[in-house]
Amino acid sequence: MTSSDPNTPRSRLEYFVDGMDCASCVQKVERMIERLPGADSVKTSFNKQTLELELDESRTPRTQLEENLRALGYSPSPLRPAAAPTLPVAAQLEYFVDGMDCASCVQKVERMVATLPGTGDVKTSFNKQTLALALNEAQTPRATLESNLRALGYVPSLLGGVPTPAPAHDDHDHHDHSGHDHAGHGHVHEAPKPGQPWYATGQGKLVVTSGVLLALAWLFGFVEPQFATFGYIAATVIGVWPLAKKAYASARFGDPFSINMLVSLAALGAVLIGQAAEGAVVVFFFAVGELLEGIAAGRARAGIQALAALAPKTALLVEGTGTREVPADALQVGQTVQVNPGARVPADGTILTGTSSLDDSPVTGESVPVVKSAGNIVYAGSINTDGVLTVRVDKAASDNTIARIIHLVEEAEGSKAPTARFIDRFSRYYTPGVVAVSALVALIPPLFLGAEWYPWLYKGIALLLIGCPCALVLSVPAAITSGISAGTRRGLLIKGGAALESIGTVKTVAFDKTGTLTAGKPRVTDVVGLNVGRTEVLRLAAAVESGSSHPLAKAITDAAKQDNLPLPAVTDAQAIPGKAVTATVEGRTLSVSSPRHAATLTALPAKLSATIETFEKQGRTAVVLLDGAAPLGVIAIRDEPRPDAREAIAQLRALGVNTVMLTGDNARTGRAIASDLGMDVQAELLPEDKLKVIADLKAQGVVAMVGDGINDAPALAQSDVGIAMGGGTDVALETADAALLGERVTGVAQLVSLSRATMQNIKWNIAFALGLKAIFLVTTLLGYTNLWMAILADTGATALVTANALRLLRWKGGGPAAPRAVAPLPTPTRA
Amino acid sequence: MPEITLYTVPNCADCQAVKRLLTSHGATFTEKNVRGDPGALAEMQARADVRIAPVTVIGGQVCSGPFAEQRPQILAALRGGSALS
Repeated sequence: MTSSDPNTPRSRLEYFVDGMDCASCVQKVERMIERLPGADSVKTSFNKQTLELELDESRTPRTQLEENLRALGYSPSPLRPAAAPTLPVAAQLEYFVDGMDCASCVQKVERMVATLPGTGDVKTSFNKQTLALALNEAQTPRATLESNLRALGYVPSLLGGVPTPAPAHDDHDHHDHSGHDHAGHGHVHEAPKPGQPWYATGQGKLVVTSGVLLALAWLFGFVEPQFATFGYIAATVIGVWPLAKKAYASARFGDPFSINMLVSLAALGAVLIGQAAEGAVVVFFFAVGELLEGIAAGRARAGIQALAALAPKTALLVEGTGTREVPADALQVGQTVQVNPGARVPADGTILTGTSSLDDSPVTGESVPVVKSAGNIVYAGSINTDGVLTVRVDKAASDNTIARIIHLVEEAEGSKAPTARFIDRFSRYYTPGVVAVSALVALIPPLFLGAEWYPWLYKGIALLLIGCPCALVLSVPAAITSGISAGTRRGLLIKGGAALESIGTVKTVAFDKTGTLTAGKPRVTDVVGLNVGRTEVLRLAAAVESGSSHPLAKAITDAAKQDNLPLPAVTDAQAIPGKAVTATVEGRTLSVSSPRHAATLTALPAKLSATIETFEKQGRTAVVLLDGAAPLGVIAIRDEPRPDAREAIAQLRALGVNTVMLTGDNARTGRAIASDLGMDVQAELLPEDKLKVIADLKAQGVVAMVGDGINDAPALAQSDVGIAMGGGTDVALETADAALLGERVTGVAQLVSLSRATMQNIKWNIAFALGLKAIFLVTTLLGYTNLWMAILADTGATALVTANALRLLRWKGGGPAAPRAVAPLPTPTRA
Repeated sequence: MPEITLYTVPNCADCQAVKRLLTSHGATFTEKNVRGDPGALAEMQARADVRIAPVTVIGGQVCSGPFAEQRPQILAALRGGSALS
């Protein structure tokens, strides 16, 4: 019996054990339990025929115990649920997996994990080289997972600084970091140190070893020609040994047709039919191919991690009258920092004093500096170009926008695109299929057609190599990773392969008007009084709206402020969303309402109606000031379209995508603005109408919805692809499928073309991978190719796919960057 | 996993964001719409002393306010929940 630390969490279990009805049976059960790690305080009851024990399920899950009992011929039935589950139902674990740096390695790990009971939410990140999962340790202790990983040839290290409990002594994890909070420093634990030379990596070592062995064997051939073969045999066996070990482990964990298995079989087969030299060459080329994959993954990773490096390491903390240099990581929310000209902003925050142009390109991809002053938000990593700023820290370093973007991108790697899932399924059939074909080719002609053994065995072995799906498995994730990385550097944040895939297929893009197509900063353009002065209309309307944060209200109160109008006191302010605001001002019940709502209350004079119509045809929003039911005047407000909105719509049209503007504005205003921009419009929509419109559009094809991510979150969620614009807000980042971190509408067209470029890239990759295979399949059967050419085909395809996917990293998108306004307010429309 | 209750209202971006956050962390939660459900509203007020959705109750911890404020608290509570209680 294992004695264990009394502090270890243990489940108290009690079973009725059917069949344990003799003394020797009891003994047998007790002996079995003695050998179980983590079992303690065992009591067997002869009277009740029960077994009671305490079990540390992080070392032996209860399922294991039950299985062992059944193996001995007894059926346990639990008598009570374990008292208070003493283990987390599912621990969220995140491992950095050293050596898992190729697409097929990732697949191998995923397959192994899939065979373990109690695993869920498995996410592998191509960028971070991590494996994150929810693990029910009652079913599979983490030690099992880790030893399985090691058996496959990978070294897992748990992220979050929690040492894994060594099997020798118990230690459970109170601080089970669930990996989600590593946004800020996930890259810090990156094991293969950036800049680590290729020959120092696991794959690099294999290349060097197999290359050296091959060269030695070749030289040995000159010295002792009659023993040359032995040199090659040695080279093959030594080179193939690590592969064979991994292949065996994979087979044990439910993946008998791993790439390692194919190569091991082929290399050893070559030795057996007397082609040891070719076997050694096969091992060498295979190692080269694997190395290339590792390099590709590293390149895509570096692109994202470069972003993380942009946040400065130190900050000038304002203390009393002076400043003190502190590490940026140590900044606390609420502290004040000073940012000097030319320095980078150390934390996400709000400007307290000073005005400066900030280059936000690290976050938004926008290279034109933006003027910001007190009250504006700044991002960690932005460059302060001219003025001195003091900034209040709003977010800790690990949670700033840039860290979250990196984290989101890394998470995106883990969500598989539909194509990737298809390829996974395909290779699951393809590889065994090839093995079967190669076995038939090797055996049928000699056995049944009287052909010679040697040439057909040779062909069979060559086919095994052709069956390696390396390049195929790599074709999708390499392109997706590169595509997402390229987008991020242009301020286009795409949260996952599925989103990246579907954006390119959209038939319609629906745009919310306010704050998306327009800057969301409406200004009062005209005030018309009916029997009262213009100033009086503005003064009363501003009073009614004084408590509202609605953009139209803000436009009116700003205009009153500009005219230095003192506002009277207000009571009983009430809003009817989308229709009117009422309040009691100077003893009168006043309301500011949409013309349509006003018309239901009173008959508007013809002259007033004509004025309203004129304003609306010019794309302005008109509101009516009423005293009870008597109209006092009209105020016209216009929200200008963004400078690049027109161009963005034209670009989308050129890409063959329909565009439609959704707005709560009245039809005339909506039409005026939409025709300026050259797009369709659906106006006078209440929030719930937008959902209906999206649903109707979905019937015709894939729909993307572009909005601010705040006011139209439901519409974004309803569409196939929700795109948040002027992102960076927590809500938008969380809810949208993609976010335009800059404020350019043209980003939507860029997303579409990036998605199409990525899909195109994937098609090429698959064509390279399968095309080369097909060619070599035919030439092998005709007897033109030899083994090392077959493996070279696979290595060559891997190299082509890698190089092709990396081309995407250089994707620049189209269109010049337009200057942009400072963070807009999220704005609902009110007609 | 501690018990999680999320009080929401329809068409609320912050509520959506909290839902996505919880879902992306594999947390299961009970959602209660407090608009037009006086019982749920009373329950929310009793637990959080606020009338504004979203309110997220994780185990014994109550988070309210805009998503940006709740997010770190929710993450911390989820982490606390994935360790031993």
